[in-house]
Amino acid sequence: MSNFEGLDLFGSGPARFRVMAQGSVVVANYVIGATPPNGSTAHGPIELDVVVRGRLVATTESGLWALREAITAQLTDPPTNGSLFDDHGHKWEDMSFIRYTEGDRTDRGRVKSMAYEAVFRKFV
Amino acid sequence: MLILNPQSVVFGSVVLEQVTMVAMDRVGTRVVLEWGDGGPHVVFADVPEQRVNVRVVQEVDVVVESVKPGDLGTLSFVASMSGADAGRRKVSATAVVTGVGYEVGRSAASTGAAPRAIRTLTFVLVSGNGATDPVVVTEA
Repeated sequence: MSNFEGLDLFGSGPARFRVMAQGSVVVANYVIGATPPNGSTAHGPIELDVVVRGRLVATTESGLWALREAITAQLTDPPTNGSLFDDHGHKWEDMSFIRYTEGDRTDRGRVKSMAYEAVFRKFV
Repeated sequence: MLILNPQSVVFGSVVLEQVTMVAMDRVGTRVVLEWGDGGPHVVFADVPEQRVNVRVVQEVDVVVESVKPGDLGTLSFVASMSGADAGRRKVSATAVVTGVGYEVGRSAASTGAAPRAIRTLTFVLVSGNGATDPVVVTEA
């Protein structure tokens, strides 16, 4: 079961984990006044982002709000730093929960559900 | 729901005569499908937005433009399983006309009767609050 710092934030419905780009931060020389101007310069590793996209699912309106608030409660300042696990037990350490975005509507059919995207970053 | 030869069909104050068929279709206009990280199959499906369409088909001799797209009213009809009085049900709903179409039916080959005009009225049913099913079925 996926979790962040031991909290089952995404288990009410399906969730998918995506590892974003890895490598170096590269800036065009003409932007920073370096030479040659048509080249580029590496400025260290890209901060790793792991994006969780899924859907919160509850049988009641209040139940769905409880799920949403459980997630937003982890959006602290400074960001909460902890371990993130996917559904297959893979672990990312020292991840900070930095952003949570919901879909454009609450879907009210057989159940109440809400699409979301949660972004975790490993700060350099 | 398909009703052949309903005993009466009324829309607002208009009595629709010689109705041969009432068809009520339920269509999922927004289907939510989700896959998880476990494998290839759908793990969540729901239909949070749907629409109930009704088609009323009637034979008409004289075309009278009594119903027009956009008209709002209560659509009701009485039906029974066997055409008898037993088990009669009244189906009613708030409806908005979405289309009025005509075509010419085929003549009855055996009798040589002239072909008749067929009018098809289409409606979308409206729920009072979005959560309640727009179709109300009661004992007639």
